[in-house]
Amino acid sequence: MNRPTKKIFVLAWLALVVMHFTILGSAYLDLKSFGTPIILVLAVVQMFLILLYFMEVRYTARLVWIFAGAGFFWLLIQWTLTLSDYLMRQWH
Amino acid sequence: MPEQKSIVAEQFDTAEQQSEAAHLGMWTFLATEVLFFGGLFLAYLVYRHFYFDAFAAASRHTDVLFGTMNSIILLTSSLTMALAVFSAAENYRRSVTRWLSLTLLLGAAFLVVKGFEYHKDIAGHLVPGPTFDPALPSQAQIFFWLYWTMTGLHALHLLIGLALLTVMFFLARRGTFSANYHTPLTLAGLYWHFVDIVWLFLFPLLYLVQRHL
Amino acid sequence: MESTNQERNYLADGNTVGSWLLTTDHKRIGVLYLFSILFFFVIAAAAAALMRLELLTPQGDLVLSDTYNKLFTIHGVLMVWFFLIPSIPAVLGNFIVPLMIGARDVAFPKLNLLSWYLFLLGGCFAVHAIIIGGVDTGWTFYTPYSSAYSNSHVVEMALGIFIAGFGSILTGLNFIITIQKMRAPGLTWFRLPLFIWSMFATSVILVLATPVLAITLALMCVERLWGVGIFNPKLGGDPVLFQHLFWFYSHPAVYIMILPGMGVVSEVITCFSRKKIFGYRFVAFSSVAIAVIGFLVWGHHMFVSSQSLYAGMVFSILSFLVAIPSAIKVFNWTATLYRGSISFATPMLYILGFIGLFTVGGLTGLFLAALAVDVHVHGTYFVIAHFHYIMVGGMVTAFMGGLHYWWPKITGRLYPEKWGQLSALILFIGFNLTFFPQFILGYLGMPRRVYEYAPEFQVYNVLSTAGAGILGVGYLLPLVYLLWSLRYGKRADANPWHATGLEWKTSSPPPKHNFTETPVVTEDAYHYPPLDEKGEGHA
Repeated sequence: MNRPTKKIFVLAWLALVVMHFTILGSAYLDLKSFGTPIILVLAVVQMFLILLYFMEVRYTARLVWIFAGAGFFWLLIQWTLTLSDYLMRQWH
Repeated sequence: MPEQKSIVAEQFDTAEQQSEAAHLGMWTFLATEVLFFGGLFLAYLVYRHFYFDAFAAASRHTDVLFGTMNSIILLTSSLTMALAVFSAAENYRRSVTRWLSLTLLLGAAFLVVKGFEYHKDIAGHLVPGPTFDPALPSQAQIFFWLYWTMTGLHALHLLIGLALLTVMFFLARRGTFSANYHTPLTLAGLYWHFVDIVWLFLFPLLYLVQRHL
Repeated sequence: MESTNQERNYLADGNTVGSWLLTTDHKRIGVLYLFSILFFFVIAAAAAALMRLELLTPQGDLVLSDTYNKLFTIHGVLMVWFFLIPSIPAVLGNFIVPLMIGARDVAFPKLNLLSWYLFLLGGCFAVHAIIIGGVDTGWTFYTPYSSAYSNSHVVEMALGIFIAGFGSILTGLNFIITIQKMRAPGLTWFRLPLFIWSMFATSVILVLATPVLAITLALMCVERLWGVGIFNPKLGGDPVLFQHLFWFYSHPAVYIMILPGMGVVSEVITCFSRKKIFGYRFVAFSSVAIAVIGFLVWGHHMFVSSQSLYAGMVFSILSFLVAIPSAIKVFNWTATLYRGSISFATPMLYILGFIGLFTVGGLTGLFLAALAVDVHVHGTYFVIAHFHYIMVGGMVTAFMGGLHYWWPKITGRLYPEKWGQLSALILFIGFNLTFFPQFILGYLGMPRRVYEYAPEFQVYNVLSTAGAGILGVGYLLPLVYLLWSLRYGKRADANPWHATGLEWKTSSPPPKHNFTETPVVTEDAYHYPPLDEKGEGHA
């Protein structure tokens, strides 16, 4: 498939809206320690929907995937090492 | 109207090379934006770790109704933006301007809602500093400077996006875009979707820290 | 040489002020950057000179302590952001990269011009901040001093750096796309000159690291302007968070500063050994490895900051790892020299100096990466000597080498060779005399950033200041003879060094669009003819 169709866009939008309300709803439930991870995972899925369909990354060359992913990968480096400092301080 | 051929700038050999370069350029720029916002998110993560209860209490003072409205507005604007680019690619020239104006409208609506929300926040003493609500723990101020900075920076990016889309609107009205050439529109779309993605993370992190209590 | 084609060379193509200030020609933009960074270098060098004069005596007697603090801040800020970071990328990179890959210009020429204006605008704010009183926080802007207690012009200086930073992001973006998409036919990745690999790696760092600096400076200013507790412990913030954010950029920044220099070394050393590089792929991948691993080591600036000891250990190991690709490069350059037909032209002298001085700098980096040693020498002149060996002994030396190497291409003139060789020697001697004593000072315990010191340190300080004087001569001489050569230097032909590389296939100076016809590449880089037993090549 070379381009997404109108239908795909609308479906993606529907999924995004449904997920939004799921996120909203789950915030009001006491999900103990699962609450935050569930919400964040859903947000990440929403991000992928936008990336893959609205931004058409699914239909573009691999090179674009690398460029698109690079920023997030580097963010992960920054967050992991910094947070590990804070978390490891508790071991002292 | 005859098919508009894209003008190939003198440093490029073909229109295709030019278009691919432009695409990669925009993705590179978006990567820089990810790192730019990322620093703020990191600060958020660190202080949420240190002061979770204060963050939870503070987060309950954000207005979920305004937040949700803005989320739906922005998500829909991403749809209309994608449809604008789609129309250009299919040569539905008039639809391009129609979808673009809808996107602009929704973007403006986001800022209007934000305006009301900010007004309510200020009246509710949620600005860190001497006027801050004394009933909240002092570390709630940290939550709120993050709130103001992150949503403010996001709104600034949105405003820039609106300016960009306005330019696109006028270009579209002149018939600049066609199936053969609509790179600027696509790139503007990429930027717009990025702004949407940032909000997708801002919303749960700022509005939904611990709503169930 | 007059180009035999119809197009005039890029220097002759319009000589109004407007044709320069509104140019989108990457070559002219490179020249504009050259003069701009020279301006900032002079100010920063003057600050250093004043500091070295103050340090002739143990007492603080030349300037006030506040003034001294402002001097080292000015020196650091201008040297890092307004000289070193733009130096090779914006000057030589802008000029040479499109030529080297056979392109007519960079991917986004107008963005290129914008980069220069952003650089200048940032520089205006920085210089203005200096004129109205300066900043005394050090170039590292540590909080909460910078964000709450300093009475100096922190926000304006930060604004200058912020704006200039965007210029450098755009330059990096431009190079990435240019190298990715505009290589001449036949120029595959593994046929690229290693300067391009270095510039690509540098550009990746520029693009990914600089935005973090931007947000960090912005947050520091927010705290300063609105008194909110971001990094100020009094208000609930964490000053170490500032350091994490700041060094996440600033450590990779040092690789922004050295990788281009390493690229120059690969070009010059092959040319003046008349040999292809030893281990091309190793050198190429090492550039990438330095860029990537360089992002993982920033905590080694924070060993004594109250960072977790375990995080410190992780950063320490990673810092040892990052030395490996640099070492691989040094070994490969040395192996390139082996059995080469070596000539000691000025660029080569600088580059040989680089290899020795960079090695010293790099090895002393390993000392600093060792946790226990760092506790002893952190905050002392040992650190200062270490990074000056890399930045000045390495980067500035490489810049001088590259400038001389490509001078004929840029200006169409040859500089006077004997003066070049003499200056390289003077620079080498002056540099070592300035900075080697500082290793000793640091090890003996002299702290950095302080304008007075214990009397037993005086003799080393005097040596260092004397060296700085000689170093100054080493900088002044090229300034004079290079400018002289613009008018009186012998005219250069297309390839005065008989070097390989596409940039040498067009006239000196090149025509506006670089090549009359897009070249097609069929050979590897550095395809120098094999040397016979006498060590001579045949053209």
